[in-house]
Amino acid sequence: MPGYDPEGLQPDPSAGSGELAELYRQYFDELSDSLRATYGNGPPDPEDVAQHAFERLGRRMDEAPPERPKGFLWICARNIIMDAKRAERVRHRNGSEVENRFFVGSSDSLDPERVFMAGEQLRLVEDVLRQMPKRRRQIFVLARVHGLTPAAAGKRVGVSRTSAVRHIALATEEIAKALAAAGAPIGQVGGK
Amino acid sequence: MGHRLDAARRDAHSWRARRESDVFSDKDEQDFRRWMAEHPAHAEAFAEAEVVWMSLGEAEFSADILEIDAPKKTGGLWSNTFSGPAWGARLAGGAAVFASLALVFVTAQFFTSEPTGPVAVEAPPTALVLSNSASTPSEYELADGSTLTLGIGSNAEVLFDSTQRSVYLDRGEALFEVASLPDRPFVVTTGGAEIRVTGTMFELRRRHDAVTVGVVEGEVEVSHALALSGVVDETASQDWSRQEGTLMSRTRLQSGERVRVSRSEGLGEPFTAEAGQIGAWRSGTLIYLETPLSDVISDLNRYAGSSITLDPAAAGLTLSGTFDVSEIHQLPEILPLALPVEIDTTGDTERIVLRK
Repeated sequence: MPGYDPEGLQPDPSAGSGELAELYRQYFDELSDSLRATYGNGPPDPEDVAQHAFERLGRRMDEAPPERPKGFLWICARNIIMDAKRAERVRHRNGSEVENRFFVGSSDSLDPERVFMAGEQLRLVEDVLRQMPKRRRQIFVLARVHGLTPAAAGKRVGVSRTSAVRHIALATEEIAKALAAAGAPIGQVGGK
Repeated sequence: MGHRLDAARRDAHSWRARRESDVFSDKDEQDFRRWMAEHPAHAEAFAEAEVVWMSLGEAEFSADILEIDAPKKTGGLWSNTFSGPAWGARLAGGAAVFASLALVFVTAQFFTSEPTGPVAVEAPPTALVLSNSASTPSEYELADGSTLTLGIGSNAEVLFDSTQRSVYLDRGEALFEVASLPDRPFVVTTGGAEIRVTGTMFELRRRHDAVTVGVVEGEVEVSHALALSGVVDETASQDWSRQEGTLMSRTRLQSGERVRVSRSEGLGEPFTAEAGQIGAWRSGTLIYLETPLSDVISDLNRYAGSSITLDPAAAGLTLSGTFDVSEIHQLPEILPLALPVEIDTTGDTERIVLRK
């Protein structure tokens, strides 16, 4: 089972040399800190999740090294958390109603095939973006593509920070819904 | 029932966007934590929202998607489409804004601009004039690998040669991340102050007659012509490189420290800045800590494009507080609540005077 497995830890990759060890030294703490800041101390434990993400990256480095290892790691870690939370939810008493609804994709593999979108997925996202109100699309592009803060993106098109935040959230939600509905969730292999 | 799922997903996207906003209080963070702990589906939905957001940052969108209407106000220097910054910069945070630069330059031999690509022209070194008239801070990558982020309404000139990297800050605020090149010092001059560094990150803010320097990382040396009887040689203050023989006072500034230099008082004593305060203007936040009112009004005028004047009698008042750049135009209404001042509107321009 490639899911979250706290017992399956491998030896400390930072001990080695080479590219993976270098990435480990560079990003392990940052990834753990970022996970802890968002998801708390777990379970799953942020360090364990980071460790697993690095193991997956290690496996990938032998075959087809990802173009953007940092993105691969971060998305991998989020996938692991999603999977762990999904398992937790199944156990959760009230969880049955939402079970298996979030992601059409299975968790057979949690490796993000690519950390960026292309092909069908991208076309689908672009269709959603084209159909949304122009202002919302522009705020989304300013925030996501150009890296503006919500306040700055809002100011650029003449809306308040609060409504810019709302537009960004709605745009992303619409995209996520469309992707899930089409059975093409982002960041996971296969997506069946 | 998909209701719970839909609600969790909606909340997750909303939290994700809000957490990225400049204004997310400790109370908000507590509410977020409570929501995350309420149900495993919430944390799962949040993780999904983050993955979607990150993946969208990787997408190569078509030109029609990237089209942004020109701003309504004049002075819009945004092009309709431009490619986004490098992925790493975006993941690192929302502060990386590479677009919306007004690039006015004679030649660009020592400068590469993002994202329009390097312009290599064989020519003698000439100062490159950078002027940010956009509504957000702009980041420039310099040819030596250093970066310069210019605040709203700020201007700088860049001149690199084989012995020295020189920048002159004409107006406003700038944050420098200096590439370490020990044999080519990086020297910034402004308002009579000179800041000399080898490799570090520091900010510089210039107002009417005062400059503040704040160091994020590393160490810099700040020097300024000695203020003798409140008079400083004008040519020395304005010039790129000062004349030989000017009497200088100097101080070394460590990481987390700030110093104020003014024409009338010369070089001040270094003081420790609040954590996160230096460079906060890049994300649209202005943080003041017992800042002279004259500095605050100078920022206000630059950000809001106003020309409010200040009665010299009130210039010594200080203000502490945090302001969102998008709301700074409200400052004149707020000031009388915080300080013993009032707005005099009888003249051509608004004037802040001591309350009678």
